[in-house]
Amino acid sequence: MTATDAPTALYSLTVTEAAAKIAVRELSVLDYNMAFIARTDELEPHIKAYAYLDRDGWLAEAKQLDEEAKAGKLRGPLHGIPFGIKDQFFVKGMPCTVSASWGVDFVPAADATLVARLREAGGIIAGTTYMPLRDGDPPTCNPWNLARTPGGSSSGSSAAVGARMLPAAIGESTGGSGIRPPSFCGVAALKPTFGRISGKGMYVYSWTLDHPTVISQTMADIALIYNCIAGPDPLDETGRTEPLEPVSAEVPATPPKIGRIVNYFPDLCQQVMLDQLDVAVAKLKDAGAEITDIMLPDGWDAVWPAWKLIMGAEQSTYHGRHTGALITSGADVAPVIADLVPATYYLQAMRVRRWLTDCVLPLFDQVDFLLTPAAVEEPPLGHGSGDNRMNSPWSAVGIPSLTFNIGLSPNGLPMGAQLAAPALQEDAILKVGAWCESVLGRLPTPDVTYPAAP
Amino acid sequence: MRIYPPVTPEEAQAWLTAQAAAAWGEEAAAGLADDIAAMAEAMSVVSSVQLPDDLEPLFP
Repeated sequence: MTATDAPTALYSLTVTEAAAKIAVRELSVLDYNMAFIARTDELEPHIKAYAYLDRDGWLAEAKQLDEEAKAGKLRGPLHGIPFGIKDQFFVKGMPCTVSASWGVDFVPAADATLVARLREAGGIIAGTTYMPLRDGDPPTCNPWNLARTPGGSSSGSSAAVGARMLPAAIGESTGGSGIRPPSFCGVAALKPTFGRISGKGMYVYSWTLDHPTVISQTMADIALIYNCIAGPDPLDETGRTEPLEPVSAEVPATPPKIGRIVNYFPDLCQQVMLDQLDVAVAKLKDAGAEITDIMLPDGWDAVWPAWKLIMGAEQSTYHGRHTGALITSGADVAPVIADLVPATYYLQAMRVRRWLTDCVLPLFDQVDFLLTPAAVEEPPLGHGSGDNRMNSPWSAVGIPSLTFNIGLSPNGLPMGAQLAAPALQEDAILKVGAWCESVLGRLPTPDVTYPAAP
Repeated sequence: MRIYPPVTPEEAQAWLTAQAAAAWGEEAAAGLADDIAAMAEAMSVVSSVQLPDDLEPLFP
């Protein structure tokens, strides 16, 4: 079967639409998954989203869940929905290589908590998705333009969803990897409050900055998935312990009150991004949103150096054992300057982080959400991760952020905005994201008539 | 490396370069010049932020 003779419209269904149809047996789990499998067969040689594609396992699981659905048995709200998992999370039986980073290569004996929760809810794990390689960029291409990067490090997850090779995927954001790549690929994503989605079974990049993220087409999809995987996990020592209150992405009747950050962030952006955000803000205002300019306090730009020191020191510490093993094995391992960050500076950066957090929270007395671009520019040429400075502050502060699309650049490339909200306000931020989505609309499926793959 | 009084980027760069040379050799340190400059800039900024004396680190 090819994408041409598959029931192709099925891959354009949102997760919410597909799950609802499967639940009432209007949609066959097998047909739905075959649409994605066929599209993957056709597009993966161009996109290169998968670090490991379990095509046979995916098809077998789809057949099993199809039989169960026909028998009236639904495992959960995600029955029959396929997912890609960033090659940073443990998926039982699938190789975990962190895309060949750090000399890691093993087959986990158990699922990461979020993977287990996806399965419990009826999700199917199609495979693991690329992130940057240790010695270079990931091979993944942006579905909107193969010469452009999908961003990183959630490269494969974002590109797969952007190309409609999958309806949803899991990413991770240490400095913005779960927000900027989805925006580059024209899809939506949520980075919840630090610790709200369990990190158990996640290959750590930075203990206090890593945030599992949800990537899909719409806020409603994200809410549905978030409700299945978020919440306390006794196995996650850094996780939030508050009980999970289910979220929804119901469009609120009252337009939101948003503060557009007008210092520090805009200075880093290219004009094309600022122009696109201006257009989006005008549309949101026309629809009733109260959007005011808001200033971060003097000195807030210390967030970027503080993030750099924290991330560097934690990364070097966690990965030291792997680089050490590589060195012992005789590999030529380049030294990393973060190995030399003094403990005093790591702790001082953590103090700066506290101060930055204390500076941001009072802004939410004036507005409900903070607005910035999701990236400094349109997706750049090549395969690089892209500039993370729009996103890393919200990883440093640990509050939720999301991205929604604000249209295409003059080059026909996706552009995204980013909202941030106070900790544990996932319900509120998804609702306002849905409101923005309802005003601005969603991007169409990208044109994937690529030249023949090499 | 001291934090107070704040270090300049040049001071941090010299310190990191010396540490890198001691750890990995002069040639490797030279190859890390750009990374060292960026990290030195970060150290300088972080050491320059005026923080309340009783502010504790944030470990989320």
